[in-house]
Amino acid sequence: MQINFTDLAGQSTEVTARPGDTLMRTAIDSGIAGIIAECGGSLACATCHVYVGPEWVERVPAPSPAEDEMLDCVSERRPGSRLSCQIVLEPSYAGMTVTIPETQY
Amino acid sequence: MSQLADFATALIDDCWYALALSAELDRTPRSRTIAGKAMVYYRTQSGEVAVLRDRCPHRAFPLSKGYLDGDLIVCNYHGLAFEPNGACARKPSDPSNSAPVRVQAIPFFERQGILWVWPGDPAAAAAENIPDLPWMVDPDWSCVSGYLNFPANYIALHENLMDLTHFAFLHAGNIGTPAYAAAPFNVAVRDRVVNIRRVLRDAPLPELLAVPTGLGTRAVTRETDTYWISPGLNLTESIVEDPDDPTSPSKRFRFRIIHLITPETQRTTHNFWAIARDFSQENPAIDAHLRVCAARAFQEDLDALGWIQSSLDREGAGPDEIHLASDRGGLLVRREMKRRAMAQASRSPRPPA
Repeated sequence: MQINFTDLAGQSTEVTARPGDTLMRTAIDSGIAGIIAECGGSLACATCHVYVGPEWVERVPAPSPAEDEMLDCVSERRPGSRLSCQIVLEPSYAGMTVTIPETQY
Repeated sequence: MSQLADFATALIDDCWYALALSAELDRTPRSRTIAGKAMVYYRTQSGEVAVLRDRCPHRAFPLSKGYLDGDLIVCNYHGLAFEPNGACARKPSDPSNSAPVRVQAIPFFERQGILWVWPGDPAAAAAENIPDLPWMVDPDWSCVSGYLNFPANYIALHENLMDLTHFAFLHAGNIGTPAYAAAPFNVAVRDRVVNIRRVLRDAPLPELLAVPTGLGTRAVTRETDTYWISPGLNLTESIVEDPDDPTSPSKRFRFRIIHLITPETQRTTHNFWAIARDFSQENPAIDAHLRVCAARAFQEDLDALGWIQSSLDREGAGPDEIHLASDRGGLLVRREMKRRAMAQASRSPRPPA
Protein backbone atom coordinates (compact mmCIF):
# COMPACT_ATOMS: atom_id res chain seq x y z
CA MET A 1 0.00 0.00 0.00
CA GLN A 2 1.13 3.55 -0.71
CA ILE A 3 1.04 6.62 1.50
CA ASN A 4 1.70 10.10 0.15
CA PHE A 5 3.61 12.55 2.35
CA THR A 6 3.83 16.24 1.42
CA ASP A 7 6.11 18.76 3.10
CA LEU A 8 5.03 22.35 3.51
CA ALA A 9 7.06 23.36 0.46
CA GLY A 10 4.69 21.15 -1.52
CA GLN A 11 7.22 18.42 -2.25
CA SER A 12 5.44 15.03 -2.33
CA THR A 13 6.94 11.63 -1.64
CA GLU A 14 5.06 8.39 -2.12
CA VAL A 15 6.23 5.57 0.13
CA THR A 16 5.33 1.93 0.51
CA ALA A 17 3.74 1.09 3.85
CA ARG A 18 2.82 -2.09 5.69
CA PRO A 19 -0.60 -2.52 7.26
CA GLY A 20 -0.20 -2.79 11.04
CA ASP A 21 2.62 -0.24 11.18
CA THR A 22 1.88 3.18 12.56
CA LEU A 23 1.91 6.17 10.27
CA MET A 24 4.82 7.53 12.38
CA ARG A 25 6.88 4.33 11.91
CA THR A 26 6.19 4.40 8.17
CA ALA A 27 7.42 7.98 7.91
CA ILE A 28 10.55 7.36 10.00
CA ASP A 29 11.45 4.16 8.14
CA SER A 30 10.98 5.94 4.82
CA GLY A 31 13.22 8.83 5.83
CA ILE A 32 10.46 11.44 5.71
CA ALA A 33 11.90 14.68 7.15
CA GLY A 34 9.99 16.71 9.71
CA ILE A 35 8.65 13.91 11.90
CA ILE A 36 10.74 13.60 15.04
CA ALA A 37 8.84 11.16 17.27
CA GLU A 38 11.10 11.75 20.26
CA CYS A 39 9.16 9.42 22.53
CA GLY A 40 8.99 6.55 20.09
CA GLY A 41 5.20 6.32 20.14
CA SER A 42 4.38 6.63 23.85
CA LEU A 43 2.02 9.55 23.31
CA ALA A 44 4.35 11.64 25.44
CA CYS A 45 5.96 14.29 23.25
CA ALA A 46 3.76 15.56 20.39
CA THR A 47 6.70 15.64 17.94
CA CYS A 48 5.12 13.35 15.30
CA HIS A 49 2.36 15.79 14.44
CA VAL A 50 0.93 15.57 10.90
CA TYR A 51 -2.05 16.87 8.97
CA VAL A 52 -4.16 14.08 7.52
CA GLY A 53 -5.74 14.97 4.14
CA PRO A 54 -9.28 16.35 4.46
CA GLU A 55 -10.87 13.32 2.80
CA TRP A 56 -9.13 11.02 5.31
CA VAL A 57 -10.06 12.77 8.55
CA GLU A 58 -13.31 10.83 8.93
CA ARG A 59 -11.88 7.58 7.60
CA VAL A 60 -9.42 6.99 10.45
CA PRO A 61 -10.56 6.46 14.05
CA ALA A 62 -10.96 9.71 15.97
CA PRO A 63 -8.20 10.72 18.40
CA SER A 64 -8.38 9.37 21.94
CA PRO A 65 -8.86 11.94 24.74
CA ALA A 66 -5.13 11.72 25.54
CA GLU A 67 -4.16 12.33 21.91
CA ASP A 68 -6.66 15.15 21.69
CA GLU A 69 -5.07 16.77 24.74
CA MET A 70 -1.59 16.49 23.27
CA LEU A 71 -2.82 17.91 19.96
CA ASP A 72 -3.73 21.05 21.89
CA CYS A 73 0.00 21.38 22.63
CA VAL A 74 1.23 21.38 19.00
CA SER A 75 2.28 24.60 17.34
CA GLU A 76 -0.60 24.88 14.85
CA ARG A 77 -3.57 22.58 15.26
CA ARG A 78 -5.88 22.22 12.28
CA PRO A 79 -8.89 19.97 11.56
CA GLY A 80 -6.64 17.23 10.12
CA SER A 81 -4.12 17.34 12.98
CA ARG A 82 -3.09 13.93 14.31
CA LEU A 83 -0.17 12.39 16.13
CA SER A 84 1.09 9.93 13.55
CA CYS A 85 2.15 7.40 16.22
CA GLN A 86 -1.51 6.89 17.06
CA ILE A 87 -2.67 5.92 13.57
CA VAL A 88 -2.26 2.21 12.86
CA LEU A 89 -2.42 1.60 9.12
CA GLU A 90 -5.12 -0.60 7.64
CA PRO A 91 -5.26 -1.76 4.01
CA SER A 92 -8.16 0.60 3.39
CA TYR A 93 -5.87 3.56 4.08
CA ALA A 94 -4.01 2.93 0.80
CA GLY A 95 -3.48 6.24 -0.99
CA MET A 96 -3.78 8.31 2.21
CA THR A 97 -2.37 11.82 1.90
CA VAL A 98 -0.47 13.35 4.80
CA THR A 99 1.10 16.81 5.15
CA ILE A 100 4.08 17.46 7.40
CA PRO A 101 3.88 20.61 9.57
CA GLU A 102 6.52 23.30 9.40
CA THR A 103 7.76 22.62 12.91
CA GLN A 104 7.32 20.08 15.69
CA TYR A 105 7.97 22.67 18.43
CA MET B 1 18.56 16.54 15.79
CA SER B 2 16.56 16.06 18.94
CA GLN B 3 13.86 18.63 19.63
CA LEU B 4 14.12 18.08 23.36
CA ALA B 5 16.50 20.14 25.46
CA ASP B 6 18.90 18.06 27.53
CA PHE B 7 21.95 18.53 29.76
CA ALA B 8 24.12 19.45 26.78
CA THR B 9 21.79 22.13 25.37
CA ALA B 10 23.23 25.65 25.63
CA LEU B 11 21.91 27.44 28.73
CA ILE B 12 19.12 29.91 27.97
CA ASP B 13 20.40 33.30 29.08
CA ASP B 14 17.66 35.53 27.70
CA CYS B 15 15.49 35.02 30.74
CA TRP B 16 14.85 36.57 34.16
CA TYR B 17 16.46 34.38 36.81
CA ALA B 18 16.55 34.72 40.58
CA LEU B 19 20.04 35.78 41.69
CA ALA B 20 19.29 36.06 45.39
CA LEU B 21 16.53 36.63 47.91
CA SER B 22 16.38 40.20 49.21
CA ALA B 23 17.11 38.91 52.71
CA GLU B 24 20.71 38.12 51.79
CA LEU B 25 21.45 41.53 50.24
CA ASP B 26 23.59 43.80 52.38
CA ARG B 27 26.78 45.83 52.32
CA THR B 28 28.96 42.76 51.78
CA PRO B 29 29.72 42.12 48.12
CA ARG B 30 28.75 38.55 47.27
CA SER B 31 29.25 36.47 44.18
CA ARG B 32 26.98 34.06 42.40
CA THR B 33 27.35 32.54 38.94
CA ILE B 34 24.30 32.66 36.67
CA ALA B 35 24.31 30.87 33.31
CA GLY B 36 28.09 30.74 33.44
CA LYS B 37 28.58 34.44 34.28
CA ALA B 38 29.88 35.32 37.73
CA MET B 39 28.03 38.33 39.16
CA VAL B 40 28.85 40.46 42.20
CA TYR B 41 25.93 42.08 44.06
CA TYR B 42 25.53 44.36 47.05
CA ARG B 43 23.39 47.14 48.47
CA THR B 44 24.46 50.73 48.04
CA GLN B 45 24.39 53.16 50.96
CA SER B 46 20.91 54.33 49.96
CA GLY B 47 19.59 50.74 49.87
CA GLU B 48 19.59 50.39 46.10
CA VAL B 49 21.11 47.31 44.49
CA ALA B 50 24.22 46.96 42.32
CA VAL B 51 24.80 43.89 40.12
CA LEU B 52 27.99 43.76 38.05
CA ARG B 53 30.05 41.09 36.32
CA ASP B 54 32.28 39.66 39.03
CA ARG B 55 35.39 40.14 36.96
CA CYS B 56 37.63 43.16 36.77
CA PRO B 57 38.01 44.15 33.09
CA HIS B 58 41.72 44.69 33.74
CA ARG B 59 42.93 41.23 34.84
CA ALA B 60 39.73 39.26 35.54
CA PHE B 61 40.19 39.41 39.31
CA PRO B 62 36.84 38.70 41.03
CA LEU B 63 35.52 42.03 42.29
CA SER B 64 33.71 40.15 45.09
CA LYS B 65 37.16 39.49 46.58
CA GLY B 66 37.55 43.26 46.96
CA TYR B 67 35.69 45.71 49.20
CA LEU B 68 33.22 48.58 49.16
CA ASP B 69 34.37 52.17 49.41
CA GLY B 70 31.07 54.00 49.80
CA ASP B 71 29.09 52.83 46.77
CA LEU B 72 32.20 51.94 44.78
CA ILE B 73 33.47 48.38 44.60
CA VAL B 74 37.25 48.26 44.69
CA CYS B 75 39.27 45.54 42.98
CA ASN B 76 41.73 44.03 45.44
CA TYR B 77 44.35 43.36 42.76
CA HIS B 78 45.23 46.85 41.40
CA GLY B 79 42.68 49.03 43.12
CA LEU B 80 40.45 49.87 40.16
CA ALA B 81 37.14 51.12 41.57
CA PHE B 82 33.75 50.85 39.87
CA GLU B 83 30.46 52.70 40.26
CA PRO B 84 27.21 50.71 40.76
CA ASN B 85 26.50 51.39 37.06
CA GLY B 86 29.80 49.73 36.07
CA ALA B 87 31.78 52.88 35.18
CA CYS B 88 35.39 52.86 36.36
CA ALA B 89 35.93 55.73 38.80
CA ARG B 90 39.60 55.17 39.69
CA LYS B 91 42.69 53.60 38.12
CA PRO B 92 45.34 54.17 40.82
CA SER B 93 48.25 52.82 38.78
CA ASP B 94 47.37 54.87 35.69
CA PRO B 95 45.55 57.99 36.91
CA SER B 96 46.00 59.94 33.68
CA ASN B 97 44.26 57.21 31.67
CA SER B 98 40.89 58.64 30.65
CA ALA B 99 39.71 55.66 28.60
CA PRO B 100 36.05 54.89 29.39
CA VAL B 101 36.63 51.59 31.18
CA ARG B 102 33.55 49.71 32.40
CA VAL B 103 32.61 46.47 33.99
CA GLN B 104 29.35 45.13 32.59
CA ALA B 105 26.30 46.13 34.63
CA ILE B 106 23.74 43.30 34.70
CA PRO B 107 20.05 44.22 34.23
CA PHE B 108 18.27 43.51 37.51
CA PHE B 109 14.97 44.08 39.27
CA GLU B 110 14.09 43.59 42.90
CA ARG B 111 10.48 42.52 43.39
CA GLN B 112 8.55 40.68 46.08
CA GLY B 113 11.67 39.74 47.98
CA ILE B 114 13.53 38.38 44.97
CA LEU B 115 16.47 39.92 43.10
CA TRP B 116 15.96 38.99 39.44
CA VAL B 117 18.75 39.30 36.86
CA TRP B 118 18.89 38.99 33.09
CA PRO B 119 22.20 37.37 32.09
CA GLY B 120 21.53 37.59 28.32
CA ASP B 121 21.19 40.43 25.83
CA PRO B 122 20.49 43.56 27.95
CA ALA B 123 18.41 45.05 25.14
CA ALA B 124 15.91 42.21 25.51
CA ALA B 125 15.45 42.60 29.29
CA ALA B 126 11.90 43.84 29.91
CA ALA B 127 10.82 44.28 33.53
CA GLU B 128 7.18 43.55 32.66
CA ASN B 129 8.17 39.94 31.98
CA ILE B 130 9.28 39.37 35.57
CA PRO B 131 6.99 36.79 37.16
CA ASP B 132 4.44 37.93 39.73
CA LEU B 133 4.76 35.92 42.96
CA PRO B 134 2.58 37.80 45.45
CA TRP B 135 2.50 34.95 47.99
CA MET B 136 6.14 35.60 48.85
CA VAL B 137 5.14 38.84 50.59
CA ASP B 138 1.32 38.84 50.95
CA PRO B 139 0.42 39.13 54.68
CA ASP B 140 -2.51 36.75 54.13
CA TRP B 141 0.00 34.05 53.29
CA SER B 142 2.82 32.55 55.29
CA CYS B 143 5.96 31.47 53.54
CA VAL B 144 8.93 29.24 54.36
CA SER B 145 11.87 29.24 52.00
CA GLY B 146 15.29 27.78 51.41
CA TYR B 147 18.12 27.32 48.96
CA LEU B 148 19.78 24.26 47.43
CA ASN B 149 22.55 23.89 44.91
CA PHE B 150 21.78 20.95 42.63
CA PRO B 151 24.77 19.12 41.16
CA ALA B 152 22.82 18.75 37.91
CA ASN B 153 21.74 20.62 34.80
CA TYR B 154 18.63 22.77 35.24
CA ILE B 155 16.65 20.81 32.61
CA ALA B 156 16.70 17.80 34.92
CA LEU B 157 15.21 19.83 37.76
CA HIS B 158 12.53 21.27 35.48
CA GLU B 159 11.61 17.79 34.28
CA ASN B 160 11.62 16.45 37.84
CA LEU B 161 9.15 19.13 38.92
CA MET B 162 6.77 18.34 36.04
CA ASP B 163 6.85 14.66 36.90
CA LEU B 164 4.58 13.66 39.75
CA THR B 165 4.98 9.94 39.15
CA HIS B 166 8.31 9.72 40.96
CA PHE B 167 6.79 10.94 44.23
CA ALA B 168 5.53 7.55 45.37
CA PHE B 169 9.00 6.06 44.93
CA LEU B 170 11.73 8.63 45.51
CA HIS B 171 9.65 10.45 48.14
CA ALA B 172 7.75 7.50 49.62
CA GLY B 173 6.17 8.38 52.95
CA ASN B 174 7.08 12.02 52.75
CA ILE B 175 5.48 13.93 49.91
CA GLY B 176 4.55 10.77 47.99
CA THR B 177 1.58 8.47 48.42
CA PRO B 178 0.91 5.27 46.41
CA ALA B 179 -2.29 6.68 44.90
CA TYR B 180 -0.42 9.61 43.44
CA ALA B 181 1.82 7.72 40.99
CA ALA B 182 -1.05 6.19 39.06
CA ALA B 183 -3.57 9.04 39.29
CA PRO B 184 -4.62 10.41 35.90
CA PHE B 185 -3.45 13.87 34.93
CA ASN B 186 -3.95 16.40 32.17
CA VAL B 187 -1.41 18.50 30.32
CA ALA B 188 -1.93 21.77 28.48
CA VAL B 189 0.20 24.47 26.88
CA ARG B 190 -1.18 28.02 26.91
CA ASP B 191 0.90 31.02 25.86
CA ARG B 192 4.02 28.85 26.12
CA VAL B 193 3.24 27.95 29.73
CA VAL B 194 3.11 24.19 30.30
CA ASN B 195 0.54 23.02 32.85
CA ILE B 196 0.08 19.62 34.40
CA ARG B 197 -3.08 19.17 36.44
CA ARG B 198 -4.02 16.33 38.73
CA VAL B 199 -7.16 15.96 40.84
CA LEU B 200 -7.02 13.26 43.46
CA ARG B 201 -10.26 12.45 45.30
CA ASP B 202 -10.91 10.36 48.34
CA ALA B 203 -7.23 9.85 49.12
CA PRO B 204 -5.16 10.59 52.23
CA LEU B 205 -2.59 13.37 52.12
CA PRO B 206 1.16 12.93 52.29
CA GLU B 207 2.79 13.93 55.56
CA LEU B 208 3.91 17.29 54.16
CA LEU B 209 0.27 18.41 53.85
CA ALA B 210 -1.49 16.17 56.39
CA VAL B 211 0.09 17.79 59.43
CA PRO B 212 -0.30 21.51 58.61
CA THR B 213 -3.93 21.10 57.51
CA GLY B 214 -4.72 18.95 60.56
CA LEU B 215 -6.48 16.51 58.21
CA GLY B 216 -4.31 13.60 59.29
CA THR B 217 -5.26 10.39 57.51
CA ARG B 218 -8.71 11.59 56.32
CA ALA B 219 -9.59 10.88 52.70
CA VAL B 220 -9.77 14.29 51.04
CA THR B 221 -9.74 16.03 47.67
CA ARG B 222 -6.51 17.53 46.40
CA GLU B 223 -6.21 19.59 43.23
CA THR B 224 -2.70 20.24 42.02
CA ASP B 225 -1.70 22.45 39.11
CA THR B 226 1.98 22.68 38.27
CA TYR B 227 3.08 25.33 35.81
CA TRP B 228 6.37 25.59 33.95
CA ILE B 229 6.40 29.33 33.49
CA SER B 230 9.91 30.00 32.23
CA PRO B 231 13.38 28.46 32.32
CA GLY B 232 13.65 30.24 35.68
CA LEU B 233 10.37 29.34 37.37
CA ASN B 234 8.15 26.39 38.23
CA LEU B 235 5.02 27.10 40.26
CA THR B 236 2.63 24.62 41.88
CA GLU B 237 -0.80 25.57 43.17
CA SER B 238 -2.39 23.00 45.43
CA ILE B 239 -5.83 23.13 47.00
CA VAL B 240 -6.87 20.63 49.66
CA GLU B 241 -10.49 20.21 50.71
CA ASP B 242 -12.25 17.78 53.01
CA PRO B 243 -15.62 17.04 51.35
CA ASP B 244 -16.95 15.53 54.58
CA ASP B 245 -16.06 18.58 56.62
CA PRO B 246 -19.14 19.33 58.78
CA THR B 247 -18.58 23.06 58.44
CA SER B 248 -20.16 24.60 55.40
CA PRO B 249 -18.73 25.71 53.12
CA SER B 250 -15.90 23.37 53.80
CA LYS B 251 -12.51 24.83 54.45
CA ARG B 252 -10.10 25.03 51.55
CA PHE B 253 -6.40 24.94 52.28
CA ARG B 254 -4.28 26.60 49.63
CA PHE B 255 -0.59 26.02 49.06
CA ARG B 256 1.85 27.55 46.58
CA ILE B 257 5.15 25.81 45.96
CA ILE B 258 7.57 28.12 44.19
CA HIS B 259 10.78 26.86 42.63
CA LEU B 260 13.07 29.58 41.35
CA ILE B 261 15.45 27.69 39.09
CA THR B 262 18.63 29.41 38.02
CA PRO B 263 21.25 27.63 35.95
CA GLU B 264 24.65 28.19 37.52
CA THR B 265 26.77 26.21 35.06
CA GLN B 266 25.99 23.48 32.56
CA ARG B 267 26.17 21.00 35.46
CA THR B 268 24.95 22.92 38.50
CA THR B 269 21.72 24.71 39.36
CA HIS B 270 20.61 27.19 42.00
CA ASN B 271 17.22 26.39 43.48
CA PHE B 272 15.52 28.94 45.71
CA TRP B 273 12.32 27.31 46.93
CA ALA B 274 9.38 28.61 48.90
CA ILE B 275 6.21 27.02 50.25
CA ALA B 276 3.39 29.45 50.97
CA ARG B 277 0.04 28.71 52.66
CA ASP B 278 -3.08 30.76 53.28
CA PHE B 279 -3.96 29.31 56.71
CA SER B 280 -2.38 29.10 60.18
CA GLN B 281 -0.14 31.94 59.08
CA GLU B 282 1.56 32.62 62.38
CA ASN B 283 2.40 29.11 63.43
CA PRO B 284 6.08 28.30 63.95
CA ALA B 285 5.35 24.58 64.44
CA ILE B 286 3.83 24.38 60.95
CA ASP B 287 6.75 26.38 59.54
CA ALA B 288 9.15 23.91 61.13
CA HIS B 289 7.20 20.89 59.84
CA LEU B 290 7.17 22.24 56.27
CA ARG B 291 10.90 22.96 56.46
CA VAL B 292 11.71 19.45 57.68
CA CYS B 293 9.53 17.69 55.08
CA ALA B 294 10.70 19.94 52.26
CA ALA B 295 14.34 19.56 53.21
CA ARG B 296 13.98 15.77 53.19
CA ALA B 297 12.13 15.64 49.85
CA PHE B 298 14.37 18.16 48.10
CA GLN B 299 17.49 16.38 49.37
CA GLU B 300 16.12 13.16 47.82
CA ASP B 301 15.70 15.01 44.52
CA LEU B 302 19.16 16.54 44.84
CA ASP B 303 20.76 13.14 45.41
CA ALA B 304 18.81 11.57 42.54
CA LEU B 305 19.60 14.30 40.03
CA GLY B 306 23.25 14.31 41.08
CA TRP B 307 23.51 10.57 40.48
CA ILE B 308 21.78 10.95 37.12
CA GLN B 309 24.11 13.79 36.11
CA SER B 310 27.11 11.65 37.07
CA SER B 311 25.99 8.82 34.87
CA LEU B 312 25.31 11.20 31.99
CA ASP B 313 28.77 12.76 32.43
CA ARG B 314 30.41 9.35 32.56
CA GLU B 315 28.57 7.62 29.75
CA GLY B 316 26.79 10.31 27.73
CA ALA B 317 23.08 10.63 27.15
CA GLY B 318 22.82 7.53 25.00
CA PRO B 319 20.61 7.41 21.94
CA ASP B 320 18.03 5.17 23.53
CA GLU B 321 16.52 7.24 26.33
CA ILE B 322 12.99 5.92 26.58
CA HIS B 323 9.93 7.92 27.51
CA LEU B 324 6.66 6.94 29.13
CA ALA B 325 3.27 8.53 28.60
CA SER B 326 3.57 9.91 32.13
CA ASP B 327 6.57 11.98 30.98
CA ARG B 328 4.53 14.24 28.75
CA GLY B 329 4.58 17.27 31.04
CA GLY B 330 8.36 17.12 31.27
CA LEU B 331 8.81 16.46 27.56
CA LEU B 332 6.63 19.45 26.65
CA VAL B 333 8.90 21.56 28.87
CA ARG B 334 12.03 20.15 27.25
CA ARG B 335 10.56 20.86 23.82
CA GLU B 336 9.79 24.44 24.83
CA MET B 337 13.25 24.96 26.30
CA LYS B 338 14.87 23.56 23.17
CA ARG B 339 12.83 26.01 21.09
CA ARG B 340 14.06 28.91 23.20
CA ALA B 341 17.67 27.73 23.16
CA MET B 342 17.56 27.37 19.35
CA ALA B 343 15.92 30.78 18.91
CA GLN B 344 18.65 32.33 21.02
CA ALA B 345 21.43 30.55 19.10
CA SER B 346 20.06 31.63 15.73
CA ARG B 347 19.76 35.28 16.67
CA SER B 348 22.12 37.68 14.95
CA PRO B 349 25.47 38.25 16.61
CA ARG B 350 25.53 38.00 20.37
CA PRO B 351 26.55 41.13 22.23
CA PRO B 352 30.01 40.84 23.78
CA ALA B 353 29.76 38.92 27.02
